[in-house]
Amino acid sequence: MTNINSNGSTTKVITGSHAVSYGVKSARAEVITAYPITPQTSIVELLSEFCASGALDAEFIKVESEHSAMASLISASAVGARSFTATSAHGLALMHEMLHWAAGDRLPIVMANVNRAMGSPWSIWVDHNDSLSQRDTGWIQYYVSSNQEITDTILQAFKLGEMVGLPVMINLDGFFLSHTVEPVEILDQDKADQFLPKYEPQWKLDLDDPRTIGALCAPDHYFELRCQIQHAMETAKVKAVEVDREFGDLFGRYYQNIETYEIDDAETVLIAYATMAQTTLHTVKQLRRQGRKVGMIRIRLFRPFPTERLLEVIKPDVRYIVLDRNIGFGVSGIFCQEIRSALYRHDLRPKIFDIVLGIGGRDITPEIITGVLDKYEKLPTVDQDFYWEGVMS
Amino acid sequence: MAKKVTLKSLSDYPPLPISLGSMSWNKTGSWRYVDPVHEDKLSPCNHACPAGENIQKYIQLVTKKQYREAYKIIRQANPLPATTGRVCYHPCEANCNRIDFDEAISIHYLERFIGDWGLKHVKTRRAKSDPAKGKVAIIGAGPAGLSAGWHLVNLGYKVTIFEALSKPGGMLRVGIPEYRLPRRVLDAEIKAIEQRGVTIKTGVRIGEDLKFEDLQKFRATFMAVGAHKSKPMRIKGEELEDVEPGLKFLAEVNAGKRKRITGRVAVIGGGNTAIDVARCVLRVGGRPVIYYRRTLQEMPAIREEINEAEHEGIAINFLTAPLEVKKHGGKLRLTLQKMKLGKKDESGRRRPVPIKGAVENVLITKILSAIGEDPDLSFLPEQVQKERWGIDTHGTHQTTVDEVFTGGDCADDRRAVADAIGAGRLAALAIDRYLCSEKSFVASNDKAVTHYTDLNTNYFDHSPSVEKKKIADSRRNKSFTEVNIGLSEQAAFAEAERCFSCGVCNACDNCWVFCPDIAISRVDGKYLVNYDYCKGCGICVHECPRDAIHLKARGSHHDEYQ
Repeated sequence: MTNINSNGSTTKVITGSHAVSYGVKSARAEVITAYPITPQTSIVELLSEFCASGALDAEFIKVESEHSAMASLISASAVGARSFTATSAHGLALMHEMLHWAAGDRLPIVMANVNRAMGSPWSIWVDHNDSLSQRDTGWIQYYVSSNQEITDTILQAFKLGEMVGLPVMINLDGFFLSHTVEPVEILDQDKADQFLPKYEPQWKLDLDDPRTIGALCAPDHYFELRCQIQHAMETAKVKAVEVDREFGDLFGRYYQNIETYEIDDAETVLIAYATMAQTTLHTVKQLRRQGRKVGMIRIRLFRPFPTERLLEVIKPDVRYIVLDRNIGFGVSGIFCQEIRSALYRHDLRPKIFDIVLGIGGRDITPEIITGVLDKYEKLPTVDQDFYWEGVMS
Repeated sequence: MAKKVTLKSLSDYPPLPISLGSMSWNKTGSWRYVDPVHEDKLSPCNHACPAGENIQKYIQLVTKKQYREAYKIIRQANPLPATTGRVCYHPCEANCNRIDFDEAISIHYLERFIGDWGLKHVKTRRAKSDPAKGKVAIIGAGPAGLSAGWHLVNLGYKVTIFEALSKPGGMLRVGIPEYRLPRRVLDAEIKAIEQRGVTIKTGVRIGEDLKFEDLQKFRATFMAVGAHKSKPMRIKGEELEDVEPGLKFLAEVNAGKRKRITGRVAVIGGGNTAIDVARCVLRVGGRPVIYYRRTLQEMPAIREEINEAEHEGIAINFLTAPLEVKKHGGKLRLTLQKMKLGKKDESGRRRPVPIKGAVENVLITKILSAIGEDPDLSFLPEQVQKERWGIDTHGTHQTTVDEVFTGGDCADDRRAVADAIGAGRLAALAIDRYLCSEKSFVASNDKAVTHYTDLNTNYFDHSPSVEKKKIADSRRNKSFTEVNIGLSEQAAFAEAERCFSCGVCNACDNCWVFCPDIAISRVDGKYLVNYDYCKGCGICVHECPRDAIHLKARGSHHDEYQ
């Protein structure tokens, strides 16, 4: 279904997967590698159609594995091509080595990862252990909540990645986003081109001036190069805000590294990310109507972790409940670890309850979130690293 | 080595681990212990072609729609492509690597397409003659003689062909029926050979109109008198009026002299002559039945021709040999002996042996024998050594009299048009070599052949061979209209596109694309390996679809390190 809006733009009712494809088309990616994996495949399917029809002028490479999908993009990006691929779960795991190479070579590759639980046993449904396992590879990571945000973040990701010289992973929930249709405004191409001009890297491989890239590096230099990646991450935290603002000024939609809702007078604040943040927002709105003083924080940018912004919005006397759709085995939910770690710098540390729920695609409904709130609003002390929710006893 | 750079602070570093200067000083080719070498091998079709055609090359030219060039390439070996494209037994197709993939390329149809295209579009120019080379005589204007004449005029000789019959063509004219080879095609190809500069004198029979000694005014003679003497069946009653040699019948039919015949006609034999005779009998009104003493497997006739004969409703009785023929009223009574296969004979085929008491009689109106032909070499002087079946030159094409050369059916046990054409070409080369240097010449090709397992078939798509169209069955038993219909340009192009180009680089770019060290460059449609940077990984060799790059021991390849 397509609708022409009053401002001349087009809105289509599309899946999250196709929202990725349209974003990549708007970004004028030049090299796309593709290896199918559920629930990602329809992203590269639509891209292949764009390439076949000429709607997108890109090299579309069918590769033999996800490892090759990333290896090919590393080469393409190293010669200065805007590069994209999409994957999920086990595909992402197979890429692991190449993820380090992409970041180490400082290549602004953009990848959509459709979150899916890792085997064993086989699962095709969502949780976030796949991308969180890649936390320390040097990739920027976004966790998005709607189909519109997917398209918009793809364009932002290319811009941010190319600015700071880091690869960017956009994580979207399998099925809840990838296979669910929502109205999405397709980005106006002229505006997209204005926002994201052609990629012109300062450093690239060139046959006429042959260089080596990523060769053996002794202890006298390796450390400094790692230090630079960290510097780029710190820069990215700031630039992400600028990129988002510029995007919002052009397209009228602003996102932030961290979004807040009704936190000013809240006594309890739920911290969520990805699609469960949408459900949480809905729940908080309902509870506010009932007069309950609850609020919400959504973490959109996970790497670099927006510590400073978090410190600004967190208050010592508020109770926080973190919703983690993942499990860091042996510790707790991973988002909560990050949040607790960030807040250690806070003088008066608030109470933080970590709830692990929705693993392997189990539903997270408003009723469940309300139940969590009811349960942990009154618990006097944080007596566990985390609490299971919705698991059989 | 590049200039050494010292990095003193974090701000001196590039943002990524990249060399600050060119790395071309680092000749990574020094790591290599094997050299990839672009080197063509021999396509199995070319290897199998008795006429010596460069089939792979002309098919590739068809894929570029360069028909004039393709015609030129064929005629460098064979001046009769429109003819062989119709009548050759095409061993090229039997050896085509594509058989192991799906179906062979229809090479003979492509040859016919190019031959017909050439006849329509190309005017044959006279070859430049070289006065120093002198004159050569050829006896017999069949495929061997015409081929030798063509190649000798191309080499600068003045050539005269003496032909006993009233028209040139030899067995092509007397032996091959019009429905396989329309006479306008044959006439046009012979005319092109004459236009090239070959003089053909017809109605001159050696030993009668021209004495062998008279040929001494020529620097050399090429004898290509063919094999036109039908072998006798050696049975009782063979002398009867309606028992005839099949070849004589064919010659009359082909000359348009034969009136209609009726009734059941027995054709004896299993070779191409037998099939041609039977199919001609059908076309002049008779009901042919073939009797062959062995089985289908041993039949020497071209398989497609056998299939066509069967398709036209001609019965073939296997393991049946004639014993005796007698007059019976107005007809003939043919007595037939049933056979079984025994032990292998010298030809490698199982010998037919009679089954005791298994005899049957058939009533027929005519018997046409087609059990083989011998050359008539009675005109030859004693100095020229000959065997019972013909002349054996052991591959030199030169007889025991130095200036006398020979080839074709009278000197070869493989009696096919393409073999005769090949013999004519090789004899021309032998004559030239002898007259220039008094040395003999034996053709050789030591290039290795590319086999199916040498190919990387991942790069090829399966596609069936082109549909071979034929005229309607209803038109066959009444007329001599050509049965096989040639290819349209579109069909020829599609068929040529199926060719693997085995062993021969066709500039597909795979090596250039896949080289991980960018050590292969394209120069004038060819590829150059930069051994300064080639690490010898062999990816180019593996990814070459057609076995045109090979790994050799380092340094064994002659133009390394120029």
